[in-house]
Amino acid sequence: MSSTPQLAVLGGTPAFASPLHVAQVNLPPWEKVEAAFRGIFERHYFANHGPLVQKLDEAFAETAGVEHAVCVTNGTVALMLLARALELSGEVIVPAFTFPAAVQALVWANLKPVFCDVERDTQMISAATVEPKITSRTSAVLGTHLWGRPSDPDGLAALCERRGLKLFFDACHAIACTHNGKRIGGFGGGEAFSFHATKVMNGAEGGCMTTNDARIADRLRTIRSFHASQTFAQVPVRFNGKMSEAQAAFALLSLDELDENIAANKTRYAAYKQGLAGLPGMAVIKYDDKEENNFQYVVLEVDEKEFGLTRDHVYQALSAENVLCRRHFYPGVHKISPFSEQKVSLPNTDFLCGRLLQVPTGQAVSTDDIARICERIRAIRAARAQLQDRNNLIR
Amino acid sequence: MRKNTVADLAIFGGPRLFTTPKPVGQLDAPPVEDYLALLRIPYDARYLSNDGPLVRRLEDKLCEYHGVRHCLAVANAALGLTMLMQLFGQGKQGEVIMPAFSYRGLPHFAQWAGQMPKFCDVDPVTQGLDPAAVESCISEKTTSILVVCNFNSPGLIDELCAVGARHNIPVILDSVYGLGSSYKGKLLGGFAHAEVFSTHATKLLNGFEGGYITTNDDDLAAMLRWQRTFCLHGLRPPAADKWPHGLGLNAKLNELHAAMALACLERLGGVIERNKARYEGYKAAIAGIPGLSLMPYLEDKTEKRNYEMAVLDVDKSWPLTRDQILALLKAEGAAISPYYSPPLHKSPHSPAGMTPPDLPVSESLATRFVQLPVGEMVTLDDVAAVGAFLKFLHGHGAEISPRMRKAA
Repeated sequence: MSSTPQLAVLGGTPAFASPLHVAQVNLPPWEKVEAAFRGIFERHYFANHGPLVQKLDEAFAETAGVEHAVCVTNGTVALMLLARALELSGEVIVPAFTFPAAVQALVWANLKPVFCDVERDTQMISAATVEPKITSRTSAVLGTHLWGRPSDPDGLAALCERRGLKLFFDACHAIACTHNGKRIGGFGGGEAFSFHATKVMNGAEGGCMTTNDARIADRLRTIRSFHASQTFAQVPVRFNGKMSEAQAAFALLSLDELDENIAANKTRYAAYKQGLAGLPGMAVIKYDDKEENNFQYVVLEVDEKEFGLTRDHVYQALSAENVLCRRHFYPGVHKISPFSEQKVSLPNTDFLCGRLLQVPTGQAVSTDDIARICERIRAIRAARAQLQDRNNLIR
Repeated sequence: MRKNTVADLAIFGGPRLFTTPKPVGQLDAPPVEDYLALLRIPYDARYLSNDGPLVRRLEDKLCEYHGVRHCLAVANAALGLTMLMQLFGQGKQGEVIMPAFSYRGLPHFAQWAGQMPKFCDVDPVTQGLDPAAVESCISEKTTSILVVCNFNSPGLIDELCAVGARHNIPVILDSVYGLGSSYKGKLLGGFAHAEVFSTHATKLLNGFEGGYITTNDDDLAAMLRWQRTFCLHGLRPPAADKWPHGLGLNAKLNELHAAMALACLERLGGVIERNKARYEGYKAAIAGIPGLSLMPYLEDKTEKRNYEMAVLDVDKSWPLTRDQILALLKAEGAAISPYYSPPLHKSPHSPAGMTPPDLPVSESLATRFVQLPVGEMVTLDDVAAVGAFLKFLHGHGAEISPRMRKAA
């Protein structure tokens, strides 16, 4: 490596002329997109449970290793409809170390979210953190498979079984990820996925609900629309959660390329690992070698003491380099309106909220880019004394 | 195929009048090249959602079209309506006043928004909410009034907004069927607190799936923009203070859909013209059949109308019932349905356990109408064929009716 570059935050030139994002945005070749859309226009079939949506329902069920997959507008709508389909009431225990949509979806489904802390090592809820939160009003537990790592499906299932609760999962990070070798999709009463452009499978927007329970599947398919021909169960409340043929076309093309996109993610992940190897206080969070992961996120954990700077310092300095990182999940959902009213203490969540940083990956990011990002991260540490004084950099 | 004898009817095993189903839906589409040229923009920019370039372009164009300050594209109209009802609920589990003679989704959206529907009767002429009936539905539980602008008339907007204003209750217009229609000389879009339109493929403006909210209220627009993207911390607008219980979600419109809506927006005038031709075609085709008429577009000499639907009004004197006509036409390949029937308060879409109120106008209207096939999949020949078919039914009603009952 050459001499330490001058950091943009200290007046140097940004490492990148245009911004790099934390987003997969994996695009199929234009020729394939064009052909798919010509097909839609020829069929003149644009919405309402069209042939491509039906095909995607089937294809994604196979990907997720599950009996039933029901595609919808987006991942949030998937969670909203899934919560209704499970016939829940009262309180649902949920992590605050998650994307706000998971918690919001519960409220849209007329449920009360009750926050529960996560384990520091897994960053997810466990039977041990959930159990103290169970009351007579609790009807279910909603776990998040964070970064595609399984959210203790066995421990939570055993607890829910013992306490008579339902269990479901936010699997928006977990396409093609496994737990004990089994694809995520069939755990709990149901799971919700996202095909947002920033995810490994790209439907521009899109979501999917999966289950192995035929009765729940009938309810999911019914809740998705108001169509008499799509009524398979008695449900009190329905919605328009239909996915269009355009979304399905894109998602199907993306599904065709899932394996190669995951392989490319893995290469980029390894490049970060290599580029940051040995750097004190900067860990790349690990994925279990024995399980499949989609590597759609590269998550750094900044140890302030070792690194000499806070995560927010690093975030700010990288932003100046046009490396637009994310601080998921900052702040924790328990700290944002309207949920902050619960005033709950979640020390592990707060701890993690201050330490994690997601760095750019996806089709638009090359391994050369990553080498340069890592070089800048090293330069940030080298300049830590200068940067430490700049406490007022960010809110 | 033309019918010569009653045995030729598809319901009795004869060949269908239409070999491909004839829908009740606009289903307009631009040439695929026009669509692909637009799609190339977000594709090349690697920008497929999250307030993308085409969504912003669409919102600007719709602001201009409607003559309104703000337009917020959403993933579908259901989400738009639900967001508004949730905001206006202000954290209270209250009631939304809505017409009983209307779209089956509405009571569901209210419940997603934490509200209960309060079904209200309609005015027999406009078939939209009756202001006096709304007045009597208002209670301390009322959180908003959902006015539905029907295809035949936007309804009594001024009077209904006056009721809302008098009680300090926000008014939402469901203008899904009012795109291109005017009220007192102005296109819908800038009335009440906010209006919601749809860009579903079966509506006037095809955007695959989608919708948008229009409003002239700067604060409401800022709040909705925030709500549409999960109320993300860090993006909170000062206006959010007005709606402290506002609940975020993902209601973003993606670029694949925005491209379609943009391409179709250029075609809107043409679609309305062709709709009018089909409507006039139906009028001519059923002229002279006793006891049948088309629901009129009110004030169509002075106001703009979109001619999106052709709805048959069946007089009680007819030799066949409305439901029999419906069944006969469906068997022939017309993918049609009755119009707002049964009324919501007497339908499975009413919340379980709710005692249905007595709403005589809605109940009576709900027995009368059949939606005829419309939209770009329906030719003027198809329209003439439906007319000839109805004439045949009228002439052979005495023979058909008992045979249908026997078959049932």
